[in-house]
Formats: sequence, C-alpha cells, structure tokens
Amino acid sequence: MITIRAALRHLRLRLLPVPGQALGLVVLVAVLAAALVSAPLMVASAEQGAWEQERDRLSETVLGATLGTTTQARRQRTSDTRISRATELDEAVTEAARRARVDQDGLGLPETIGFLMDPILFTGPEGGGYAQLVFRTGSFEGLEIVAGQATDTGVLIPQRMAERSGLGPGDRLPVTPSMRPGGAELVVGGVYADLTTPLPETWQPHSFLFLPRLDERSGNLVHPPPAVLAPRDTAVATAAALEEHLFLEWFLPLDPGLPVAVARDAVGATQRMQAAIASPESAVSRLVDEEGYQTPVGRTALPTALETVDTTGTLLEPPVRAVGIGGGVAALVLVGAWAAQRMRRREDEQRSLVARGLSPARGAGQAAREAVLPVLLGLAAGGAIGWLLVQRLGPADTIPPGVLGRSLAVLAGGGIAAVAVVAVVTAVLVTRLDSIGSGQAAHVLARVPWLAITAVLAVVATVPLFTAEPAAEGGGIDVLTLVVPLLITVVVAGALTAALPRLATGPGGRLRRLPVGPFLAARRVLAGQGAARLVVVTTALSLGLVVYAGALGSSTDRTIATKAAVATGSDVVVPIGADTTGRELPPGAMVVGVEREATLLPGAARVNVLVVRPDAVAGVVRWDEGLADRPLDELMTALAGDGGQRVPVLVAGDVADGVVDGTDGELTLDFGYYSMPVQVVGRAEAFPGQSSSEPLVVAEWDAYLAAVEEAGRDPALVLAREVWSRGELVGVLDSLAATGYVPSAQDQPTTADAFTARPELTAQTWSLDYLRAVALAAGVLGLVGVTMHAVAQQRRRTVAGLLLRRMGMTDRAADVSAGLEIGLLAGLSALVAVVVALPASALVLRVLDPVPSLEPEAVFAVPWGSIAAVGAGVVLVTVIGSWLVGRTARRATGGQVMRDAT
Amino acid sequence: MRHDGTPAATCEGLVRIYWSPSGEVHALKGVDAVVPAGRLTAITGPSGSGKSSLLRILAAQDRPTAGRAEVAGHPLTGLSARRLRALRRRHIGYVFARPPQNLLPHLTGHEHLAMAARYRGVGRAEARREGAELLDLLGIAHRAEHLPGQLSGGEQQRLAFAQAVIGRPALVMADEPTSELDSATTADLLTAVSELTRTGTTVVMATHDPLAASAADQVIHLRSGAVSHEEVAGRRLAVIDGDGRVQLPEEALARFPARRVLIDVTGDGVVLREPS
Repeated sequence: MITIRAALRHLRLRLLPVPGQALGLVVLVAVLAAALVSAPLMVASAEQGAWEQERDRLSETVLGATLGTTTQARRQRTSDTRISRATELDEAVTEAARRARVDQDGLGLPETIGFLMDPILFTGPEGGGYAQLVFRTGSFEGLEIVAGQATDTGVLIPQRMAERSGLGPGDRLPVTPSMRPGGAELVVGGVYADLTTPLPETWQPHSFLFLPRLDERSGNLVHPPPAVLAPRDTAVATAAALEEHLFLEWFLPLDPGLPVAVARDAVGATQRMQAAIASPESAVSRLVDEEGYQTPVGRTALPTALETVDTTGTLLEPPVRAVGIGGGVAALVLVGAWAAQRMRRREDEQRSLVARGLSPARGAGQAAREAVLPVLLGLAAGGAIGWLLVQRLGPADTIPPGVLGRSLAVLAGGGIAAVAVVAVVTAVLVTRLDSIGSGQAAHVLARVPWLAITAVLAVVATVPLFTAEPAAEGGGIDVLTLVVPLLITVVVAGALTAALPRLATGPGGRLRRLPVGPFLAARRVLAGQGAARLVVVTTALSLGLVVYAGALGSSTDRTIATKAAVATGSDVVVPIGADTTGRELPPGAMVVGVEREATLLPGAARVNVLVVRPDAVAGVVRWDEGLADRPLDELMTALAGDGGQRVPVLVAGDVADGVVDGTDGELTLDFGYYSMPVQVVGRAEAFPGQSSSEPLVVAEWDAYLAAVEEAGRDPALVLAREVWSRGELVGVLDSLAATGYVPSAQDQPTTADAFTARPELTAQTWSLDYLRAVALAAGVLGLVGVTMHAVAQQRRRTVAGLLLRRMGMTDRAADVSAGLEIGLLAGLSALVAVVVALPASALVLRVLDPVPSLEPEAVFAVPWGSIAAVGAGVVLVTVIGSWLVGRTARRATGGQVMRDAT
Repeated sequence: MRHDGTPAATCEGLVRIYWSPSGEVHALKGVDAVVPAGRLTAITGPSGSGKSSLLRILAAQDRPTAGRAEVAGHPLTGLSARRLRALRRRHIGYVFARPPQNLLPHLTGHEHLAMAARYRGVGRAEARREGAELLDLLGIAHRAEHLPGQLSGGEQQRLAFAQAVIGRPALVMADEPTSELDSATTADLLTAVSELTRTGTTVVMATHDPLAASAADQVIHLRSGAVSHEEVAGRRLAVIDGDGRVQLPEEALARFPARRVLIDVTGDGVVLREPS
C-alpha cells in the first residue's frame, strides 16, 4: 500500500509538481484547442448549414430524383402492348433502383406516378366532362377521403366532380377517349376533398393536375380536368383499353433530414441507377428495345444544391481557417507566456538546478513532461467546448461525423505545438539563466525603436486598404484585414503607455491631493513599466478584436440587409401581368410599375424606372436611414408633391450631381419611342428595387401614368408590374390568389431571404460570426490577463502592502487602490480598443463588401452590443480583480512576509 | 575530493568584465587565489568587491574575461557551455544564501538528496547510503521525511549542504549561507560544515559574517576586484600576483597618502618607506 502511495507520489512529482500552476496551462490549452478545433468544425457545420438551407429552400421533393418517360414510341415504332406493359416498365425501373441500392444512400425506392397524355371523357348520372386518370404507387398521402374508401380496384374522384356528375362510391364510371371511339368502365371506390393550395408536399411537383393555370392569350384561369385517382393496374389497363398514352414518372424521395455527406452519396446513387437503367442487360433496356419506350431520364436539383453548398464552403473556409489559426497562434503565444511565467515563479528552483548543471534540453524536457497532463486535459476540455459551441451556435445543429478525424488531428497538432512551445520557451529561459549579464546583442535589441518600427509596418499595411478595390465576387476576411487593426492597436496602446510616465510628472502635484487609495492607483498606472505596459497593449488587442469583429459583423449584417432591401424591394416580389388588376391588397403590400432601359437626359445615363404610390411605400419597403440624407417619409412627401408639367421623381444611384444641379432637376426620361419630362425632387444613394448597378428613377404612380398616356402610350403595354409585399412567399401567394392577382407565368417571384441565402453572403455572415466568437474568447482572455497581472503585482507588493498597512492604510483604501488600478488599466485598454477598432473596421469594411456590384456601398454600423460587452467586462474584471487582490493581500501573514523579504 | 595536496581550485590573473548600458564594469581585476582541497575557505569583502563574480567563476557558472581559472583540474577558459554544465554537475555543489533558493517546496529531505544524486550520476543504492550518512552527519536525519516548509532555517541550510555534498563533488560553493541565520544557528551550521570538511569536502563560502569567516581554514579578502589579503591560520598574508603587484592592507595604505613609496630589499625582507 505504502509502495503504491509512494509510486503515485513519485508520479505526481514528476508529472504535476505544482498543480495550481498547471491549472493556468489547462485553461490556455483549452482555449487553444477550442480555437483550433472550431475551424474545421465550423467549416463542416457551415457545409451542413448551407445544405439545410438549400434543403429548406428547395424542399425535399425538388431535391429528390425524378425519372420520366412516356408510353409513346420514339420514332415510328408500333406495338399493341406498349401501354399495357407500362406496369412491367414500372417494375423494371423499381428493380433497377433496388439493384443500384439507392435506398442505402439517402434515397427512397421509386414512387411511380402516371397520368394520361390527353384527358378522357366521362359520363355520370347528372352530367359528364373531361377527366384525367392518375395513378400513384404507395399511399395517396395528403388526401382527405370524404366518402367511400380507397380500394385495390376502385378509383377516387374529386368532390367537385362527384357533385357535378352525381357519382358516388360504388357507382360505375364509364370513360371514353376524347378523340376516338372506344370505352372502358371504372368503379368509384370513394370521393376525395378537392385539393387546393397549399398542396400536400407529395403532390406539389404535379400541381398542374389539380390547380388552375393562367391562359396567356385570354388572361383567364383554366381549370385542369378533375383527377381520377386509380390503382396502378387499373389505370394502366384502362389506358391500354382506351389506347391512351401515359406519362410515367418515378420519384425517388430524399430521406428526410439527410446530412450533407449522405446527400453527396445520393447523387452517386442517382447516377448508379441511371447506369443500371441504361445497362444493356437491364430489364428496362429490354423493354425499351422491345416496345420502343424512351429511356427514362433522371433529373434532380440535388447537384445544383450541393454546388451551392460547396461554393459556400469554399468561400467560408479561408477566412475561418485564418481566424482559427490566428486564434490558435494567439493562444500559443499565451502558452509561451505561461511557460515564461512558470519559470519566473519557480526561478529559485530553476536557478538552483542550473547551478547544479541543468541543461536547457533537460530543463525543456522537465517542463514538457510537466506540461503533458495539463495539455491533455486542456485538449479534452477545449475540444469538447469547441464542439459544443459550434454545435449550439454554429450554422447547423448537427456536425457531420466525417470531420471528427480531422478535428482530432488538429487537436493532436495543437497539443504537440503547446508542449513544444513550453519546452522551447523553457530552454531559452534556462539558457538565459545560465548566462551572466545580458550581453551586447541584448543591449542592441533593447535600443531598437520597436514602437516606431511597428508604426511604420502598420502604415505600410494600411495602404492597400485605401487603394484596393473590393473584389468583384465580394470580399472576405484575410490576413491583411486581421493584421492591420491589430498593428494599429499595438501602436496606439504602445504610444499611450509610453506617454503615461510623462503624464505622471505633469499632474503629479494635483495627484497628491487625492485620497491614499486613488493616489496610489494613479501613480502605479502612470508609472507603469514593463509588465503593466504589456498588459495594456495585450488587453487593448484582445478587446480591440472584440469591437473590431463586432463592428465588421454588425456592419456586414446591416450591409446585407440593406442590399437585400435594395435588390428585392420588399420581402417578396411577385411579377404580375402588365394589365392585371385585383381587389385592394392587404397592408404591407403594393403594386409597383417597372420600366427598364431608359435614358436620363442630359448626361445620357442608362437608368431603370420604378413607379410607386408614395403613401404605400413606407409600409412595404425595408428602408435603411443610410440610403439617403433625408428620411423616407420626407422623400415620399416630395415625390407626392405637384411637379407641374413634369413628373416628380427621385434619383437613386450614380447620377452626376452636376447633371441634376445644372438643370435645377429638370431632366428628361427617354424611352426611345417616347420621352417624358421629369422633375428631380430628391436624391438617394440607393432605393429598394434597384437590382443592378444602374441608377433608378423613382416616379409617382398617377403622375407617371398620366404622362405615359399623354405621350400616347398605353401604360398596360409599357409598364411591367410587380407586387411587393412583406411576409413569407407562400402567404403572399395565397393572399394574391385571394385578392385576384395572378403571378406571371414567365417570371419567378423573388424574395429577400433568397438574396441573403446567396453563398457569398452566407459565407461572409458565418465567417464573421465565427470571428466574433473567437474575438469574444480573446477578450475574455485579455481581461483574465489583467486580473492575473493584478494578483501577480500584489504578490510582488506584499512587503510594501504590509508596510503601508502598518503605516495606517486601511484595508478599504488598499481595496480601492487595487480596484482603481485594475479599472484604469482595463479602462485604458478598452478606450484604445474602441478608438482604434471603430475607424479600422470602417476602413476595412469597404474591402469586405460582399456584393460590390449592387448599391449601396458597405454600410457601417456601430457595434453597440460589443461595446457594451467590453464595458461590462471592464466593470466585471475590476470588481473580481480587486476582490482577488484583496484576498491575496489578507492571506499573507506579517511574520512570514518579513522573513521572506530579508 | 582530492587528498593529494593538489588544490581544489586555482585562479591566476582572473579578470571579469560585464557589459552594462552605462559601459563596462570591471568586477575582477586580476585575482590570484588558491583553494586548498578538504578545507573551508571563506571569501570576504565589502559589497561590490567581486565576491559573487569570483564565486560564480569558481562554481563554473561563468567564464573569466581574462586570466586562468582551474576547478578540479579542469581549466575553465575555453570550456563550452555544455562542458561547464557537465563540470558543475559532476564536480561542484552550490548553496544559495536563502533556503527557498536551494530547496523545492514539494520535495522531502530524502527526495532532495535523491534528485541531487541523480543529477550527479550516483547510483540509487549509493545515494541512499550516502544520503543517510550525510543527514546523520549534519544532524537532520530525523527530519528527512519533512518538506522544507516544516524545517527551520538552519535545518533547511543543512539540508542544502547535504544536497550540495552528495556524490562527493570536488568543490562546494556557498554564497553567504549564514546570512539569514541567527548566531546560534550559524554556529551549528558552521560546525556541521566543519564536519563535512573533515570528511574531505572542500567548501568555499562567500560571507560577510565574521563568525563564518573565523571558522574558515583560509580567508580570501577581496577589495575592488582584487585580493586584498589572505588569512591562513590566523596570519594575514598579502598576495603578490604574477606581475609583482601586491595590495597593502588598509592601515598600511593609510601611511602613504602620496601613493609613492621607497622599497628597500634587505636580507630580512622588503621594507616600504615614505619618500622623504
């Protein structure tokens, strides 16, 4: 028992002789590990997040694979059995899917849907008409059967058809081809409730079977023939009997909640299935050969979605890696500082060992051995923290398991680097301990004007930020954007701390009038040398990073929101027919007119025209105050004013001031075949609806239409129309349908969400979020550094503190002094951080513009949250630091202090 | 440990110059000294006289700028840092002034000796045996399992000596080992150190303490970086260096305010007289 205890003690002495000191290393390595491991995890999480975004945006129905063919022959081949063998074809395709093992790679086995190429005629007791015969394998999900039931042979008819024809469950349903003689009879098994928007997800790709469509020529809604849902065999047999050809589709649904890695496998599975179908030995090929079917061809949006995911990952990885490595390097520097501190606190021990012949290598080996356990513990804690933080706060809740190996490799690398840093720093310090005097080289180094050199470096590094143009594909965080603010912070903080001792000579007399506590604190801060200066600089750096990252993040969020507002007008933009009218739109929506490719004279600037009702604009657009030097309501009031013979307009974008000022705003809009005099009543940097870099002329609705009519043109012909609305796309479409507006068949609706989901914007938002998280950790470390410095100072001042107490200084005055000193150091750092980081971020912001091709330019936002967090941190560290210092001072016993001091 | 009359260390014309921002500092200006083996030698002198510099060179922690120093038969001049470390490890023990500088707070007395023996390359069994003997000799055998914090100042310094002596180094250097001890404890420690020298250990001790100096077999007194005089067996001896320079005692120097003398070499000796 004693032997085991002795062995354990021996092991502890070798591995962990000073546990309290090792705790600091555990914390630092945890930060290092969290910073390093979070980079690959963040990239993986972003990949999964981008995939989830695409999955939500496109729906799993669109992302699933669909193969299609018809029973109509390719070329001029005839066969009597081609339609009836559609069942065989269906089974052959399903078998091919099974052989390709698609169900093991994220796809379901095919669900078949078939319908007639031409509608058929039906007759009922009370009337007849056209009908469409539809079958679908699997369940009729989303159908509400209101009478009867689905059977193996009977069909389901829609409620409206049942009411109109007088058919019901159990009735016979005679059907005939529309163009030929012949006939067949179906049995009605049940009646289902008519399907309306929103359709069940499984039916959405085939909405044309249920929902009306707009007839382009008449402008009227055309309802499809009622869909009679039949079992597959019944439908195929009926089609064969009527000699009506079928469209056949096989839908391979994507497994719900599929991770991105499996989604990539699904693409492979789709390709395997296509190859299995095309194989000459396959049953499908045999049927294609025998019956002349067209080979089923697949289509899926999955590769496109994955391309978007890859683009996001490609854009995100470099900045995240830069930030992660930067955080890791900073943490390694702190590990080095810890190693130096370890040597300092154990200087007696080390000096004694050096006197006995300790070599730098042996000292380094001892330090490395002592660092192993804390490093392992820190790696485990930091890895877990990094994983949890990315999982909770990252782009996706689930992190692809494939990243685990890479993360462990990164952790191992970080651990080895940490131990190596401890060893190298120790070796260097042991070497220094082993040498007497500092030598000539050290004197030369001490005379180098490091601050001036850093200042020159900062200036040189800043120049590209002034001269560089934003990259056409959008900017991102890189080494330059990370290093410049840090360099400037070092210079400013260094200059400030260098100037402090000079300040001490000036107001010295006034300081003496202060009470003891504040006087001591002020003198200690003003006379701060060495460590105190280093603390101010490093804390200013860490807090500066918090403010800088906050400013970049807030500004980019604001820039993206503003660009989205400008590019898309409102939350949802639905193009509608030029002459479409409807009832009054609900609040938060309005109709605007759009006319493109006009010329503004004089100056011949190419412009687009937006026609709005000024009173409705404020409730619909998302306006940023930075877009104009006047509030929106003032602009709209000006727009609604009387322009006399001219149409009042606002001009947004890059139109020369001289053109407007030189003509008193009296310009002409030239459309080539007619022109219009306009009066500029306001300017804006950009305006909602300005979806390109070309300037936008915003005109008042009634005045503009009157001018168009006066020019002898029909507004319905020259002015395209859009509905701009706040809210979600589905809700807006429902609302439009309810008010009688019909979306344009040619143009797709656009949304602000779709704009912000662009890979370059997503990548930048996420990378800046990551920078903010890393910066926050750096800020916390900086403030912890202030506290540790204060406690270390207190240890050094133990004797002086004891003497002061014996001279009558109260504990309260000592606490006030410590608190004020910590507060002043942290406050100075925070001041430098804010003063430097805000202009630095404003400077960098221009280069970071994620979509420089769109107005407006990057918009700056003051990061009030980050500034408040820094302020709160300073207060917190002041309170906690002064408490710790007070506790340390009171723990020292007078006798021991004086004995140690001799 | 040398018993053949060969000195444990010798210095000839030892010069040590340090660099500082304000210029060069000449800490040693040609010191000649011989440290006899198996004796206690004290180095005394006022602050700034060069005691610590001489001690560091004799302890192989530093190299002379000029001159010759030899420790345990090894000339220090020209030795690489690695060889200096090896010399320290095998042949030199060192005791700092303050007990916390010598001892690790988390090791017991036995563990200190075991670690020191490991550094010196002594086998485990030999270390255990020698350690027990040393602790017994120094009178702290009953405190062997205690941590430094549980020992008195005198006990800590005795443990520090035991740690420095284990493995029988040629030379044990002690930098003011009694500076933090009261006179009774100092006397006890000096008795213990005398016991060590009786077993053949050579000890060199820099000290301000007259009690410690009086216990030494030889006292080397430094003044302004040079040997002012030596005291051997109660007799004060001036030292003549290789260039014929000699430092006069303070009281003799006071007789020559003009710093000029007439030298008469007679059959009995050399007589210095003030020029008339």
